[in-house]
Amino acid sequence: MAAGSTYTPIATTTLGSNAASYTFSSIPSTYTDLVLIVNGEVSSSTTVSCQINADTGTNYSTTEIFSDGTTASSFRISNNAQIAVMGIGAQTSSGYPFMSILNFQNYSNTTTYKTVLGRTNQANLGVNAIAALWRSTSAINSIKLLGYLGASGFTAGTTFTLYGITAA
Amino acid sequence: MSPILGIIASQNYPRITGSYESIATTTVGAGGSSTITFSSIPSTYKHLQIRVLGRVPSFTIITFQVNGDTGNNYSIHNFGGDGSSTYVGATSSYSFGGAGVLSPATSTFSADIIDILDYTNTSKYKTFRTLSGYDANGSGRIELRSSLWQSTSAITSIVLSTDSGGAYQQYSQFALYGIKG
Amino acid sequence: MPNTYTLISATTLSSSASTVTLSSIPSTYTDLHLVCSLRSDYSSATNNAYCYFNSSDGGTAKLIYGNGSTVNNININYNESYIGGINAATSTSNTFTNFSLYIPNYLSSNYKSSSEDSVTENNATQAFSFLAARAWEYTAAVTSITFRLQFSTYAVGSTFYLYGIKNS
Repeated sequence: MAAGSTYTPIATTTLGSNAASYTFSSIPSTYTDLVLIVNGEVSSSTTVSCQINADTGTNYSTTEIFSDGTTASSFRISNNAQIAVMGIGAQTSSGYPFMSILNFQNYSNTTTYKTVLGRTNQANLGVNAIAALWRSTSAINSIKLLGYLGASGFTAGTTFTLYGITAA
Repeated sequence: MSPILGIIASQNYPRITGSYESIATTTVGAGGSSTITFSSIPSTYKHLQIRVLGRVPSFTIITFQVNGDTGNNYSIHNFGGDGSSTYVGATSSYSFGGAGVLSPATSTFSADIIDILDYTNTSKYKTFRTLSGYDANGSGRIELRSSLWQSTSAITSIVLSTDSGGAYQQYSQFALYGIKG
Repeated sequence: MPNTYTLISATTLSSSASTVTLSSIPSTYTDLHLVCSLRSDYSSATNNAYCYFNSSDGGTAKLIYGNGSTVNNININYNESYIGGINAATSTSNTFTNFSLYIPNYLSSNYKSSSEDSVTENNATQAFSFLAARAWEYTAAVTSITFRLQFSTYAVGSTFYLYGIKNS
């Protein structure tokens, strides 16, 4: 069996000022999977979402399980204009950072739709896991994180990091 | 810091770079495949991770057997959400382990990340942890699943199959990684 | 390209311990990833376990978990570093909890968010699986990680692996 060390940083940014969104662009196609880590705060009540390859059509859907520490629920948003990274409830500017780990497996293939597997946490708000779909067979070359349900975005100091994993 | 009495500590060891390594990958061809086998798994890592993109004709889960063990030496537990409600499950003394859901939808694949710690340890049974899900724009699942293989043998092979949902479909992908420790 | 996922320390208990501390965590990484295989000597099926940083016990968390029969929730405000129930002496023999904790930006001057996925197997109906959103409400960089229990000790064979991840 082949063996090779992998898990490589592709790009990272720390916001120097508040920003409505952040985009990883020109993502190389040379990896097998992508792992995206976001850690930071939103500038006011909003919900973090994700779009791929600048696609703003209703080509996304998300299945989520969520708990606010009191009640567990599951819901789905279909035919949506973005992936709901954390769909129930909004992140708030609270001093508690939120974090997301998003996995994009086999992201550069041009045969299948793209599935996103994610975990998002904000300890004063809730815990979730998502499985999401982008109904496109295009290779992923850009990923945008943004807030919706509000005009706000991310605060200064929020970090966005993209890693590539290469399979044998 | 000196090692604490009674604890084997490697904090003073030289740092090992590049601890995450790719071992093997299988992508299913046009005819589909009822099983996926990782064999001759090297013993030189501490943990294994299997990253799956899976599709099958009918909804089912990934099942597995370790080292050819077909006995009732597995247990499975899970909880998750199906987009409208949460669910939970438990199976004990079963002939297969369970690791994640599989998508039955056209062009849509589940994502399953399976983590196995201390897979070569000959004093421990082997606990599998899987974060798994798919969304098919109207159906789907997201869940955390665990499974136990009740053997202290080091893992040398894993055969992944499905629980009556049919064969893995073309473009399903299975990638095995080793993590050093 | 750098390979960025690096082992910092590996600890294996050769005798029981009531607490385990991973100390002198270097400041040369961006994120930490902790994976542990845990069991307690406590004479029950599970024992409540806790994980905190820099000797400052406490935290806020939202947990969702399954117990083989139902889906449940736990809400922790400020005062506990509870990570869930781990395998203990009367659970299936030789069985250890599979625990993962991802800590992004562990050096930042904000509260520290972290993401927990853990499973406590048992060859019976009852077993436990946890997803948790965690926060440690201190602004200091993380320099040590401590595990403790509600009762008794961590069992021989429990292991603690700490990995550092660099974003560039």
